[in-house]
Amino acid sequence: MSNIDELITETTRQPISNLSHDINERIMMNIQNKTKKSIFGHGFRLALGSLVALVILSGGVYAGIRAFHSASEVVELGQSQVLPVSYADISVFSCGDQLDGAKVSIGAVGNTAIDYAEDINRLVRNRCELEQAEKLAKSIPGLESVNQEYDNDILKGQPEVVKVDHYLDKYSAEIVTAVLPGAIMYESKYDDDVTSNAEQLKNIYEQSRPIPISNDAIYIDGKQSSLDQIKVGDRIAVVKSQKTRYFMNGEKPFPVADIQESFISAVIKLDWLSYSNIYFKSQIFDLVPCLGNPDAICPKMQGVAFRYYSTSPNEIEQGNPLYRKDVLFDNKDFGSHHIFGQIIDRTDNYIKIMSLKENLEYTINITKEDEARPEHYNPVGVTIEVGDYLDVAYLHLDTENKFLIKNNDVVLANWIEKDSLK
Amino acid sequence: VITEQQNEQQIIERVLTGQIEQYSYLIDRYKQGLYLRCFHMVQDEAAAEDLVAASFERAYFDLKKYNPSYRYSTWLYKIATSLSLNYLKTNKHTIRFDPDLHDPGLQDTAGSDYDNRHRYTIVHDAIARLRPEYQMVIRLTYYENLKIEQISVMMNKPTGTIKGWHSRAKIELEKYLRKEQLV
Repeated sequence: MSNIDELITETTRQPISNLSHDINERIMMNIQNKTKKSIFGHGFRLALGSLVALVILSGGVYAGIRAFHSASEVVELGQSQVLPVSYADISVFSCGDQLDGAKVSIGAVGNTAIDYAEDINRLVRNRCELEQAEKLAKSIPGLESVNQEYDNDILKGQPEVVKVDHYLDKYSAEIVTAVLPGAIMYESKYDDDVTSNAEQLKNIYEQSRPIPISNDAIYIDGKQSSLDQIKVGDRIAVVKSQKTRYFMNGEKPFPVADIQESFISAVIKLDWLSYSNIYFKSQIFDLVPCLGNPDAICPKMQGVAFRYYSTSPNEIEQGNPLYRKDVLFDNKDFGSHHIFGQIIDRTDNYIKIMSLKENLEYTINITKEDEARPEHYNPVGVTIEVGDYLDVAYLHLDTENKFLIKNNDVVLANWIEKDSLK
Repeated sequence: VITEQQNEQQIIERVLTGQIEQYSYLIDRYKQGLYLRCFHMVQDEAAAEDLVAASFERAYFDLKKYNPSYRYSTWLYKIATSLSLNYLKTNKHTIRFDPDLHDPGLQDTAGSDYDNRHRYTIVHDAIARLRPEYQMVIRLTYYENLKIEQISVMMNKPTGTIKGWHSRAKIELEKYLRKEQLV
């Protein structure tokens, strides 16, 4: 017989698995996704590279289908072209600009595992098609105008209004968000529900759940048409629109979303399905001016992130990332920077990269010892080699040597293996 | 000299100005401890990991409400405690099934190992049968070695309430464990 305290204390000695190694990425991704939604709700700012489009609903419910039925039109929709510049093994593409003149620059890493010229081109074209699908979703007639009440109040374009708690319940907005879930295969069509005159698509990514589509406003190339133009077996992108009401409910500092209804707003035929394949997807990324180094270009991407951690024998210190502790936040010369380049030299004490576009050399004091991170941060024993690419976010004082990034300046390092599919 | 707390405050200020990536410092600093705390409270690894993620997300979106005169970790752990309590309230306790304990062959041969596991399972089940608030107090006391005053802060309840819960929880536990002939 034991006493109760001893018994309970005994049960505290229990094994526990490690946290998933991607827990940081999971949390940050959730935060970023939710932040985007809340920014859409009150700020009307569209995040670059997002496959979500924002339009404002002014009238009644709109349902439409745009289908592109001939091969040439499909190709034109997402026509991509290789820009005359390419950097080392990175080729830069630009999506077609038929709809609104906006171009998206896309970088693609060459590799030996797939036929670069053929597959990368198709991959980029597919990516462009999805980009265009987003623009199409935004251009559907009847969805462009702004809810006047929302437009005129303090919420317009001001994400900071989240601080205005005393306006609770006074402001709200109804918007329609077009969501592009990715490419699917049009597997079969149902027409047994004759009473509602509804067509349904079978979505292979949703456990074959039929998707109801209203048939009262179907468009092909902007003209009224019918779903017959898309055949079973075609690759398509189905754009789902959600009518959402955003309002302040007094508990959250940002507008709360309440989905009113959802419907299919566009169906776009695609040339290729593989953009949905994550391995292919990881080969291409949007290119944007680097933060703090605007003359250089940096990838806009997630994943393959490796942080550099202290190798201190002290267990508590070991999990802490290296970062600067010597500069106060309010120092106006202190800021976040970002640089991307190909590794041209690697020693025990530093990595040298050549930045894209401007071809400048940056030395980063990431030592080989730094790579000996706790195992769960590097479960596959990654080693960074000359020829690979490194994308480094770092903190820097304007007064410091621009081309020397010290070990504890580094906030985050994304690594791209040159031949990642090899 | 910049203290750790000042440094943490700098990070929080940067996050508040839109440098979301800075938040990963805070995640790195506290995720392991928070995971252990959540696991101790809910006794389920997958749920504990979800609670860690949910706590960091809640803390991020409520960051404007954070009062820097207190430690960030205290505030974060309070959020995790509250979420864990909600989890316990909405998820009925489950009795663990250990196949070895139901294997007559093992019962005959395993000796003290079998006894230890048997006792371990019964004590866990006994705690899991308590009201969620009682479970929390018992686990924070024995697994996290927190004092009544600390639990009171974590659970946002007066110390008198926590003392009452603690004492009633032990009475219920003793009754159950006595029935199982462990005390």
